[in-house]
Amino acid sequence: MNIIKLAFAQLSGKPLQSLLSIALFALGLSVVSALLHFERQTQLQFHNNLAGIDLVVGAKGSPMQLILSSVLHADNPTGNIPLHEAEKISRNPMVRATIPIALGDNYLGYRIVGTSLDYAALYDAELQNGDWYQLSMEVVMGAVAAQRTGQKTGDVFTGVHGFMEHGHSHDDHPYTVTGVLKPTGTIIDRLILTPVESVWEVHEHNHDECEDPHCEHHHEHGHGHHHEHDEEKDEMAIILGKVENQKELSARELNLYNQHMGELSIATDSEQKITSLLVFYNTPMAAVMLPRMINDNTSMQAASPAIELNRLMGLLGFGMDVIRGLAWIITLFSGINIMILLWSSLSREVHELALLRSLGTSRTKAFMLLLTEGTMLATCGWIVSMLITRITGIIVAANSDWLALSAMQTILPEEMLMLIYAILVGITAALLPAIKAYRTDIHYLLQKL
Amino acid sequence: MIITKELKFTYPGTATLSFKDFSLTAGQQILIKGESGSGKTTLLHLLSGILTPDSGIIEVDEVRVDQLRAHQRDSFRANHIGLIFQRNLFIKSISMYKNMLLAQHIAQSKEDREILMEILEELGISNLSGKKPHHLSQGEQQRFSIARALVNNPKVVLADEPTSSLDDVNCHRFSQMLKSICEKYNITLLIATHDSRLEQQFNCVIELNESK
Repeated sequence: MNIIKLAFAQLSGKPLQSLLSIALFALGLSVVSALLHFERQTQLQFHNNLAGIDLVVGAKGSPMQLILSSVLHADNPTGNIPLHEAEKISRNPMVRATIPIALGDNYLGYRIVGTSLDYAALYDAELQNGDWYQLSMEVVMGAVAAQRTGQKTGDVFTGVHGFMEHGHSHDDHPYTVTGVLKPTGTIIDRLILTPVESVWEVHEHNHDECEDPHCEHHHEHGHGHHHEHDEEKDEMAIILGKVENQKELSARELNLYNQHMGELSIATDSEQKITSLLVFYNTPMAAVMLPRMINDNTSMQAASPAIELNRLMGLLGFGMDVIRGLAWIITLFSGINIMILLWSSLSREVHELALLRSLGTSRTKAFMLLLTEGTMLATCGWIVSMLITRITGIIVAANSDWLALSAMQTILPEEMLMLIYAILVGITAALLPAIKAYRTDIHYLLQKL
Repeated sequence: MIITKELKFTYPGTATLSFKDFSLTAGQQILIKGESGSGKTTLLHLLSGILTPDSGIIEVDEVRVDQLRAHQRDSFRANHIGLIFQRNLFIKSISMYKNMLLAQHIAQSKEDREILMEILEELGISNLSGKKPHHLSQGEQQRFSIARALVNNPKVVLADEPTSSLDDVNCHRFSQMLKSICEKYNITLLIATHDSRLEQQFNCVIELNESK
């Protein structure tokens, strides 16, 4: 029976109180640890999904929306840009490469992305089976998209307009699956890739001007708009003036503007449009010159994914700071709970302490015994919190396509810091009871038996 | 084995207790008698190093207990003195056997299971040693108290009012058991008590009076 065994026996002698202390402590630490993992995972995901994309060019609107829609595929697009405008950018000497993105439809909630095969290469995606698409209306499924929709190479399906699972179905334009990708842990797992031409083909007859979900709305109210045409023209003049002066546009104005620009481009050149263009720089100079050039001189906007995602993380960060603050407060109170547990059991079992001391346990050892009990509770709390976050991780990973399971299996350096923090809390909590044990007058206690 | 000279002790705010000089040889068995407040417990605690005297000499097994430092007194008490208390004190969360081992561990940082089993056999409680304290009767607990006082091969056993809660039969049985086992291991036995039932069993009695 050494001090550690005795401390353990003393704690397991009152299992309910000990477990409550451990659970409370673990709860606080779990939140901190889960946040750490969440932050790390989002940053990792963002970083992987950026995949070195320097700039995204798309229709005017919110730059963050453009990035979210074209890079992370988590929002609706800002609108469309004419292909010939985009091609001008591709020909710019400061641009090394570009990849077109044409959005419009989805299949069971998984986006059908019109793009070139360079897009797959960007994420180092390899084929699990089948072949790359070659013709219009052929698709390659991302790993998750294939698994969740149950589509296999050779299967045929029809897309649904927009980005909601249910909606107008393009029954007359079926897609054929030519291949399925291996899992990459990036956004491409959740996408269905097809040549840009497919998107054009599907949309050319019914709603060719844009793939924005708002389009349908315009179709329905098309007649109403018609006799307001003059007013609309005036409004357009105002909007154009606003764009000139780089003022913010309302959603309606933005729609009108995009429509207007679309009409212009139809009038001047082909009908072909894409949602956005992913741009890779040839020279660092481009980072300074290109965005300004595009934003000032064209009807398109250029947004840097790195800047926008940093902004997003900044916004998320505040929310996480609040949760983190709460978690530390929980941990603080669970530390106080440990102190109360040790103090009250010491008061109740003060005769046991007197016994230990009279059997020859020194004051220092009695002091250490209490510290060991505190440390033990805190360390158990830490271990339990690690288990909780791992189990949560497994559950979340099983139910979401976003989180990679493998990343949860390591213990982060920050979690080792949390262990040190936990032990410090344990020691601090045990300090007062330990001092009480150190000072206990055994003669007095034994006389009062 | 035990020698005291001009022993004095003062509680804060009360009169000084002074104790008669006495000396005991190895294996001697004596009774310390006195009214409550006469300093019986104080004397036992002075002998075992729980308290330090204001002045005077305490020699136990040729060690000047009064001159030891605090942690030396703790270790001296663990190795040379067995204590039996008025009430049966055990660590509730562990079995009796572990309670015994704990006493050995505190004293010697090692466990001697052979001696322990021998003592438990001697007292007829080896079959009860797996139980936790609250599963045992008072009488059984008392035997474990004796066992624990003996597990470290002490030279001296000090018992403080051990029989005050026992009926006549158990009182007699207990004192006989304690006497015979101390005789067997040649241990000096001091029992502090105001229980007159014990007097006829001990031929050597020291009377403590009110402080002068």
